[in-house]
Amino acid sequence: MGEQTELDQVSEDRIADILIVLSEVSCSNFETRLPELEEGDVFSTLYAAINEMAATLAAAHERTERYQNELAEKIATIEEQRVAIRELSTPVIEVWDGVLCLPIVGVMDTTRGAEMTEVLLRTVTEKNAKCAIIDVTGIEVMDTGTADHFLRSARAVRLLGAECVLTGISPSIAQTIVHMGAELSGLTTYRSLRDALKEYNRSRSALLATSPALPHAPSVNGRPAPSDRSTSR
Amino acid sequence: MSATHAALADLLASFVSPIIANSIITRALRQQDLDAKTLEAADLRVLAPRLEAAVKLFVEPEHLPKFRAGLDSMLGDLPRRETVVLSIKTERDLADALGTTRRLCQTWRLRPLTQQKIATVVSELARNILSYTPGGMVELIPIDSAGLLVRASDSGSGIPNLEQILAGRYRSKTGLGKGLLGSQRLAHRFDVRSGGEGTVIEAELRF
Repeated sequence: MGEQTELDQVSEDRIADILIVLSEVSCSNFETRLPELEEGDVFSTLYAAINEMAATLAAAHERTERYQNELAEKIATIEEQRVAIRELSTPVIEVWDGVLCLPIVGVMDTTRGAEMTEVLLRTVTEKNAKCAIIDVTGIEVMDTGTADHFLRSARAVRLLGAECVLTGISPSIAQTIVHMGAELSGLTTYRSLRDALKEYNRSRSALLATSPALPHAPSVNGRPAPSDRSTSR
Repeated sequence: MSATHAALADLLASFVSPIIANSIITRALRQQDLDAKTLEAADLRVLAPRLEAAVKLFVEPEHLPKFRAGLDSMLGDLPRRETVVLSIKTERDLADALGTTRRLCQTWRLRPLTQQKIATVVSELARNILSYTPGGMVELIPIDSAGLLVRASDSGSGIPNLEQILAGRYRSKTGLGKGLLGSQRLAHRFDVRSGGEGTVIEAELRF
């Protein structure tokens, strides 16, 4: 009745071993194992069960570590891709001699905005461009901050001696801007990149036709004549 | 003619003559930039107020509740629109918020101009949170069938010169004023509560 049975020395040793192994497992040492016992030993089933438990935990731990590493790699890749996408999203394309096009796609945040202006101004200078066309067909939203930003960029481009126009404003964006009272005056806009290029070429050839540098500028009634490349020398 | 369109025509036919029913529907569709052929049950949400307003002109007031009930039962099976909360703490949150807003507007089948206005208001208010406060959130809360409440709250230190800004008299160097004023102009109702502990802006937009 409530008498505690005295354990013999062997059993005490066995229990001590078990306690040691269990505490090692709880410290994440999953390689630890209990020695194999002789058949018939009273503790053999318990020893085997504890060993199996340690092995299962070891496998689970290994899986978790693997998943964590994979996750860390994936996150690193995503970050790299994000940077790459950002770089891709401010390409400046030379669509014509001296004419640059900067397509804006997605959301303009402060960082992208600053990058865009920097790349634009640098390219205008490097390519000695005469015209920069900012195309916003792909823009997500045009709020007052973005509109302001385009105005300021255009002003900077003009200081570099080139024209700067905006193309691709959708009807919804146009209505919203007007409704908000946002100012885009001072910025020339065209409906499409094509319209802008046509107008650029038209005004350019008009300019060249009336340029005093050309000795026999052909003209009919004061307007440039249809192109007839037989300028006499 | 879509199934929804046909169902709508049937409903109206029990209140007005077929010719008037047809013209009410056509006009409402045109006002919302919708096409009869692609009309879906989900479009009824934005169409309902227009239809009600038109039916009122042709039908005795005592019949209106029945018409509304008819519309409601057509709307009844639609999933309720849920409030969406957009956390605004980093630039990336802004891009995510705009993406979510666009997707929601598309799910709710709003016309392009409405989508643009909502996106613009969200962008203006979220940008202000980013530029001038430690952080905040923008909630998109559906109001009845034809409206959306955009509520922007932040833990900043309040908007200086608020009265002048909203009256259009303030020349802000930073652009805070323009965004606020622009949003106010786009909104049906615009409320700002601002103080030392933060600001809550509510802009109600109608579809």
